[in-house]
Amino acid sequence: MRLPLAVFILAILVLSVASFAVFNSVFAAHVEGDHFKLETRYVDIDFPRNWYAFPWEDKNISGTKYGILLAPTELRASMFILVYDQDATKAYVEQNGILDAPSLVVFELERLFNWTLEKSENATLHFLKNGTVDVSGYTLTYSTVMMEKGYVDDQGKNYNWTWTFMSYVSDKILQITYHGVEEDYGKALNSFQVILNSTKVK
Amino acid sequence: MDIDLSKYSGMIHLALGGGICFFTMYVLVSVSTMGLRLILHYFNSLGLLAFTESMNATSLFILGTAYIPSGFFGGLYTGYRIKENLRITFLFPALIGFAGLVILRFLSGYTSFSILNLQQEFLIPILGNVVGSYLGGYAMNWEIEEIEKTTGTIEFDMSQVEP
Repeated sequence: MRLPLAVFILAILVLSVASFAVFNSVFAAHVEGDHFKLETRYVDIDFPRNWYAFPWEDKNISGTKYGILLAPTELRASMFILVYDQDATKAYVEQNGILDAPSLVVFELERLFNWTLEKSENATLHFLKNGTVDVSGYTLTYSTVMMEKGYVDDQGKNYNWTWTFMSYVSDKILQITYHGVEEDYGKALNSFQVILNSTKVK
Repeated sequence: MDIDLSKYSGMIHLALGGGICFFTMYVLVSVSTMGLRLILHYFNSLGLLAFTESMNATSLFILGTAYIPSGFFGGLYTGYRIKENLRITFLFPALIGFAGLVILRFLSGYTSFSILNLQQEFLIPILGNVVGSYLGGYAMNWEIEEIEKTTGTIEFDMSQVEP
């Protein structure tokens, strides 16, 4: 075998093995049973090992928004956790005329439903549950709604779409949202609850 | 007006080598990324991609399975067609392929100057392309190099030759 070809094959093997060695060390550092522990600047969470998780930070002149998107790979469902810092909270509240947590939930629901109507004119909104829930020492106001025929797939077929909005407004905003299409909401609900229970807002 | 294309054949082959490098990179980056996700999903660990430390592991994987092989294939073609100035020649397919990738990423909105990741979007692709291109080019010309080395070192000492 020619030397450059041997070096080429060796390079591929070494880099692939090194890559999986790094993945293995990351795995060992963050795994806790069936979950990974994700520690970030604003929020710590435990999430199922095979869920897709994407943390991000949006910094601009009106403050910093920090978010995590969590989604299972086999269900049409996902969860968002958003934390606004003091400046971002002030800007959001002033811009949208938010008074408290319930008004924020209504504002976001209205915005979502208007957006849904653009995709599916026949969608109908049903309120299923309202209340409060404690997350990481904060009392969040929540509403669970079902948008009948609200979700439209690539083939133009309509499905019922269930959403839960939670929010806390004070010197910072904490928003937690999860949703699922048809029975996928119910299937993912247990995992959503586990993530909620493990959430620590800093 | 007749144009003598033979004068430009070297440049044409360099451009084709760069094109092969670019096209292979375009395909392999997608395949590698998808493959990595499938492997992590198979091991019930897709969530690992959420951690910042995993970015280094992903970069190493893409370097080994996409950037070096694409440079290698570009270099193979160039090395098959061009047999002169090998040390300089193999730089071009890598640079052309890399430039194509950067332009495509900017045009498609995948990369922007405001969120530029120098290591992942510039250093690793160009490093992989250049290394791969030289390996591919020299793999094709290895015998020539060996013969040149051998013939270059044999010299007759005429003083030792009897009349």
